[in-house]
Amino acid sequence: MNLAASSLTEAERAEYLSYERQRRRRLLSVVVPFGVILTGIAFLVATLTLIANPRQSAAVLVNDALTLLLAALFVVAWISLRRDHLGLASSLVLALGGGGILLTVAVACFSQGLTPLSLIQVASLSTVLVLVGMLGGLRTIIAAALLLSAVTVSILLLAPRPGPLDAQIGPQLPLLISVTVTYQWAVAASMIAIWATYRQTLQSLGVAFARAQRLDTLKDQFITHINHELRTPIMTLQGYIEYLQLGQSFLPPAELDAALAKAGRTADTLVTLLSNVLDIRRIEAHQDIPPAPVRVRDALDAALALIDPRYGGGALRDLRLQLPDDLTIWGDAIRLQQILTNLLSNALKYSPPGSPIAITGHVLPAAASAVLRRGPTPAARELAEISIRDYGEGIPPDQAPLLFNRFVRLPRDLASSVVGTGLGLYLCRVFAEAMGGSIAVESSGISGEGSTFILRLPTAPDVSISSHDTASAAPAASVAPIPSPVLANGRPPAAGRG
Amino acid sequence: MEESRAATVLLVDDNVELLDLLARSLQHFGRFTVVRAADGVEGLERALTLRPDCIIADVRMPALDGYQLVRALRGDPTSAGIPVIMLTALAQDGQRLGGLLSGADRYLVKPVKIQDLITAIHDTIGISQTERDRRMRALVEGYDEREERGLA
Repeated sequence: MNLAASSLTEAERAEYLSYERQRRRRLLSVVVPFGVILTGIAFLVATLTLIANPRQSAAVLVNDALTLLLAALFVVAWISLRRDHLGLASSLVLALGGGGILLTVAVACFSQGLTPLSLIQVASLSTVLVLVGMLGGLRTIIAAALLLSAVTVSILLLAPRPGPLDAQIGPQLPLLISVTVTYQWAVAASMIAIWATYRQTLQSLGVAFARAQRLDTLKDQFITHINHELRTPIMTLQGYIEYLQLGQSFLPPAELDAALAKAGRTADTLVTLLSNVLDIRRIEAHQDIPPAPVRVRDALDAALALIDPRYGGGALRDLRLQLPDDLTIWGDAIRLQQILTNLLSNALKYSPPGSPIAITGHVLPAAASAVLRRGPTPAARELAEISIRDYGEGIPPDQAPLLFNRFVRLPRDLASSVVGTGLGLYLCRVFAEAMGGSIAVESSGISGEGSTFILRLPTAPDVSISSHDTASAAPAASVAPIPSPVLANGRPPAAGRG
Repeated sequence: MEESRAATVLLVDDNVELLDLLARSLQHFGRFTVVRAADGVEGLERALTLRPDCIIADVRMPALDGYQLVRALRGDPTSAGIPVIMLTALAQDGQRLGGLLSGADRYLVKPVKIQDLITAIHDTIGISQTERDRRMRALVEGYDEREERGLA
């Protein structure tokens, strides 16, 4: 219930608050006119009675004047509601409704003494709590219940009791007081319960609505984005087909063959885009794969074999590898490979041709693992940390938290020619979390310093402590150029940083 | 295609594959002399030095985008008259209008057939400055009208 402490975004909080305002506005727009009409009629009736029968006690005159004042203040509340001063309108209604009822009951009881009628009026004081419960919060309800109890006890103890009733009430006074006050607190407790559930429901609704709205916007962006991303490869593919049709009679066979090969490559690009989009559905089906020990080195080799050589920019790169051979995680080989493929293809896409890429891996010390562990990791399991660093443009720190959401691409990338769907890093996060791990990024946002993507996954149950030693005592980085594999039957890398 | 001198077409696109395809196609099937540029800055330099008969430019490019390129061309008296065709994946109406308002003669949304592109080049090369001014006036008036009706 604590809005500040929960993990709500500003938009979700704003959405909840706007719901709360709307609720209060609707309530007030019913209560205020009703108050105006009721007090107006009461004043009219009392005044007409006074005119018809002018010899009345002072209390009746005072009551009539009070009713007029109430009616006037309700009109003020109406005006403030029309001008959207909800706070003022609520306070006025609470003070007028609650205070008015309290005051009239108190005046009636003290001026006329306790009669059967005034006892009923005392019982009806609980309506004040209903009014407060509708418009106020927890504190207001408790404060109102305390005030009400005090007024009730004072009336029952101090108000004059005419003869016959005094004999009946006197002996039962303690019982009368405790029953009345208990009833009032029962109403107060009910109002608190209603207020709490109402608030909870509104908050959940507000959050759900804000999230749905955000997702809707993201989907719109995604559709626009994917529409744009598809048009160029489709035109290229269509263009090559037309090229082959128009040129088949006079272009040399080698030229035609080259065009055919290029058309094939363009079709591959389209398949990449599509397979990324389809991966989302696969993830959302929540297919659980039983975990098994996976050697990180094997997954990395498989990932490197899939990297699209076009992203290398034609230049050989230094692959600075510092990875213990026996580093083994507890998860799924295909998912780990997919994460590594995505991270590597991003590193290649978003850093200048020829710049190095560093991959390091080690087992985190037990204490650090305990702090960083998340998800369904067995309690005693340590975490393996795999980092992939490039020396490219980096990621502006304010945009880093957005990266792992779906359909997100950095504004800079949207304006560039780098192909992406905005799904790659979302897939990485979902896969990592499904294996009980996490993924994060560190970047200064300074061009040339690049970014480091840190993947943490639980180690396999039988991992030996020696991996610490292997990692810390690892020799100088083994340097190997990234192989230039052919994109054969493997799944091409998911595209898009973010 | 019956012109005695082959018209020169400058192609500006950061997509290497498409640039290559278009260059080959325009050479083989349109009999144009084709010059390529891989981004807006290179495109502007080539346009100012070569004075091509027609320019085909993408919109989303690093360094200098298609809109900026056309505005730069139209702002320089020596290049203001060069016909420009925008060839882009940006398919929304606002983007099309933005392209035409920046001074492009045609706004083509990908995918475009090669033969249609060749036809568009022939149409655009023949366009006179008077005709260009007339079109721009009509465009701006139409835009104002739409704005008045709240449609722009």
